[in-house]
Amino acid sequence: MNALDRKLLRDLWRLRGQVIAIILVTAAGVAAFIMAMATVDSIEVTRTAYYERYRFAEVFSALRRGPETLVPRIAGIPGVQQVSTGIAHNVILDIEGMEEPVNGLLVSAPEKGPESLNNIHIRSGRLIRPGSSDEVVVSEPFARANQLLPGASLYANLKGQKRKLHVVGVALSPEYIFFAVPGTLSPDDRRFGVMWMDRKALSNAFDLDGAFNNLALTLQPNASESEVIGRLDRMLVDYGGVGAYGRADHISHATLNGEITQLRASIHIAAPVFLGVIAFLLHMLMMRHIETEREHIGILKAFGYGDSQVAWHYAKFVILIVAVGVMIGMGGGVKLGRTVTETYAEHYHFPFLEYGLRSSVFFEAIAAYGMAGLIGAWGSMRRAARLEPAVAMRAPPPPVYRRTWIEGLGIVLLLDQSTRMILRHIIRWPMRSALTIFGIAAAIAILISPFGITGSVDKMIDTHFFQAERQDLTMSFAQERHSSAIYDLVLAPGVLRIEGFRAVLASVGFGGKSRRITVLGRQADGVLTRALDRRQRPIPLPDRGVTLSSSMAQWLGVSAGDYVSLEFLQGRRMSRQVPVTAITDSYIGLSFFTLFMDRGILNALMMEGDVISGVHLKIDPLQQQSLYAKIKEIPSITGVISHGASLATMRRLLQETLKLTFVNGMFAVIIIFGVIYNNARISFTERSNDFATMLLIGYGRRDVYFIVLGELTLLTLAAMPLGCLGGYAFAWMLTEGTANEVFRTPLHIESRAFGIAMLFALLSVLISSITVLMKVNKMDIVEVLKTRE
Amino acid sequence: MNSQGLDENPPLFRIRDLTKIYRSGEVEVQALRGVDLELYRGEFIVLLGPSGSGKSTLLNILGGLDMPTSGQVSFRDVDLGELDERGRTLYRRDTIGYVFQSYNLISGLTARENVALATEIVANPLSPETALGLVGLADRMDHFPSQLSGGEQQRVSVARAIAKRPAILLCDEPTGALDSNTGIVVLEVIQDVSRKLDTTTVLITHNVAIADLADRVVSFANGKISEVRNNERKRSARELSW
Ligand SMILES: Nc1ncnc2c1ncn2[C@@H]1O[C@H](COP(=O)(O)OP(=O)(O)OP(=O)(O)O)[C@@H](O)[C@H]1O
Ligand SMILES: [Mg+2]
Repeated sequence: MNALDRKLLRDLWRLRGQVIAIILVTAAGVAAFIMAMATVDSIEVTRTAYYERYRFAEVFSALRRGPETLVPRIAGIPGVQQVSTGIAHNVILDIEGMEEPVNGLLVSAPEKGPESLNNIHIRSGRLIRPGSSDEVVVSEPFARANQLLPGASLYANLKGQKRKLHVVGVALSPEYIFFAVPGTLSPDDRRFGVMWMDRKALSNAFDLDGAFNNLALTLQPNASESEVIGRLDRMLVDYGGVGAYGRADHISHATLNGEITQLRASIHIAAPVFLGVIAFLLHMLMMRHIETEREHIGILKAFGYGDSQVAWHYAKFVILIVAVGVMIGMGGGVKLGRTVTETYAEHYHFPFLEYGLRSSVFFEAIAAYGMAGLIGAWGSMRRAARLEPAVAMRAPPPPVYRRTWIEGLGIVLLLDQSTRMILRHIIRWPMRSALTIFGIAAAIAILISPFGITGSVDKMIDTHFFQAERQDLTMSFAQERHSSAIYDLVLAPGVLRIEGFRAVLASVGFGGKSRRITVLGRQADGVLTRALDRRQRPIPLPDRGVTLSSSMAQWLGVSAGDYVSLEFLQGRRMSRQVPVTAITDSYIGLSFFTLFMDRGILNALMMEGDVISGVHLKIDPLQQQSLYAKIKEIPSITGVISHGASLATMRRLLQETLKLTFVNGMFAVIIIFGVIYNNARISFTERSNDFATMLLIGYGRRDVYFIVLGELTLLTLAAMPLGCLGGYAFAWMLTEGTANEVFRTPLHIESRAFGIAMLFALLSVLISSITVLMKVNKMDIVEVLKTRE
Repeated sequence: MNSQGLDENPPLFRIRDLTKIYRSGEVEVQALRGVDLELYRGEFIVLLGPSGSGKSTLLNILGGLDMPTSGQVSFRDVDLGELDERGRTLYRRDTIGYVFQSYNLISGLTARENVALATEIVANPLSPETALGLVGLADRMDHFPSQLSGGEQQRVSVARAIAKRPAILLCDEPTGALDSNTGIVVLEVIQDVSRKLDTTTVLITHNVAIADLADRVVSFANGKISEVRNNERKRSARELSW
């Protein structure tokens, strides 16, 4: 090793505190990046493999009743590769030990053989014995939540017949990775489950002999999905088809897709911030380092080292820091990525996990951080190269201090010498002070944003559960019933208020775009469910036309006053033009697919009588038990959603995301600490001469402490408002940047988040100060004055 | 070698009407106001003069650390003012050895490494060990500057300067920070080594006694040469005292 490289290593060692701090920040940034990329990539790779192995279909449709003879005709549609039919029906389940009714989706088990689509993966137990009328295989999430192992049994209400079903197996399916009851926000594995049953048994129970009500197909390569869907829809009209849709509108697929997009977007927003902070830290460190090395640079040049050789020497300093940081980060990222990916895989119930981290991610990290390092080193390399040897050899002129403008204000009498020293130092290097303030502010901002996100989700929950949907229970009927059905229920125990709604599947269109949605007709005088505007104020139900969510309005490109076309996919399949009377501000994914109108108007548009498809209930919690018991006996009810339970589920989910927030928060703390610690050290080195002189002429170490702490605190205080603003902006970028048509979170940051971030900033000041104060204590006056650094 | 033999030699340095003006902001400082001088191979020159008279400025220009404002400095018929950055770097690397008043050792490197720093980039240098041996520091090679006295540090700095066998040795007040005994030791080393290696030496000092070491004494005043004197009786450093 040559002498210059040896100097490099010793310099790194001498500045180890700061070097380690920057290495940590780099490692945190790289780890966060690799971790997120590994997670997203693995989820995608696994999903693709899952879909392929279990032959997830590409187009789906439900219908009332299609005869088997229809299958060859469907298979004949150009572009269709393979057709698979089945039966699916919502039922109410009764599980022992569970007071509330549980929602079940009974699905005919896929036929064996290479022809079948949407296959299931048996996790334990076995498949259903063909011909058995009471065996079921249950989906794993549901089985786990309710401890339904093979051998257990439960009751289902099959068209008024209460049937005991035996669990023989537990399975997973690509079709139901995510499955939520329509109208809820998140999967509730305890209260909603998919179960597979023998097809024959199901067709007997639901009068579908030789027929099907559910259809899935795959497409030939290059086939046009929309063309196939169009033809299929026309073919199914006579059989009660409610509109075919592709994977993009498949709830499970769309939910998963939404999460993947959101993850990717947050990577693209967070990564540049990390890079910026690292470039900044390196810049600060190197500029200071060069300043202390002026004479060394002069010597090197006087002895014939060229400009580029000298610049390269300092470049290597940065390269080493970044390289070590990147290496640690990559190792940590891979490890963290594995853990996080496993958590996600668990959450999604993948039957297997393919760790799909692309090697290009490593190159991206190296390139990005190499770039950040170069930007950070650039200024000092240039200065080192440009420094004239004759100038470098002369000791730097004493810094030109000026009377600060604050002193000009006349409060000079109030300031003691030390305070003046602090102010002058800050103002002497305005650019550096500004950069430091900026760095601390950035770190505070980064710390605020993850808290901001959880605050936003909290806000969303509050809006949804306490402002918009205020019912306790929502029940749906197997078929539409006359609104007088309400009166049957009014007398049920514990019902305080009841409101009927009508839900109809339809296709909404505007300017060439169209989408399958649900039109929800609400009771005119209803108070339980309400639409809200941007300020969370309820919008009165319009007496004509529809209201739709702002995200749907944006997607369609409509504004209030425009007419949209509605093609109902049920009943007489009427086509109507209706005006948009209001745009609601809803954040919840599923409300993207929902249009609201007055129930009377909806029924009139459909040319039907006063019918309802379900009811919202407000109930007396004391009588809940008897109400549940009664509901389990009503055959016409096929779905029950308890809002209290959904709320609890949402909150549980939020707890899970908090874990990730915690990891991000840790990274932010590292950044805050890195920035503040570096500044403290640099500021100390820069003035150790002054400090030594102070001690020499009789000041105490206490006076030095005051200056060190005072300056740092002043800069941090200045950074706080800026950091809060930045945190707000950053959180806004995260919520808006990750919003897509289906997922959107409102921006809401609790004041607590600001408090916590600032607390951490102050804590970092404290810790950094302590390390510097320890330096002050150890400071050897003679040494400092002799070596002049 | 003394001044009588110089006539057959072409001068090593030829300095013609050299001026140097420093501009910093509004203020202009005329550091050199027309200097003419010739330096010959193997000479030992001492520059004397009051503070601010331009001695260091001249030395820096000779060493390729600084550029003249006008006039000419040629070294072996190469005009230093015409050299580009790369040329000046090579010139410094191959030709010049420096000793400064404030030693300017790199604190993070040992004595041996400080010398190696200079030898690693030239062809055919002395080994750092030999060079340190010449200045009498063979047993302190692995000490850091902070573990050496001022005189020892300055001897390391001399070793660093001569290890590359430079044609020119430039010393700017090498004893300025040292007491007389230590100063004499350092001067002995300089004199000794420059004789052994046949280098041309230019040494700046405020100390008139040191002028006795010189072949020629050049006095500066106010940016100009006020007097050039051939030294009748050149003394060895051992004989000095102040
Ligand atoms: N970079 C510079 N900018 C402005 N003025 C300078 C610069 N370098 C030197 N000077 C000025 O040029 C003049 C000559 O300086 P020089 O260093 O050559 O003096 P010197 O004879 O070596 O003095 P000393 O014996 O004190 O070292 C001085 O007035 C000095 O202030
Ligand atoms: Mg001088």
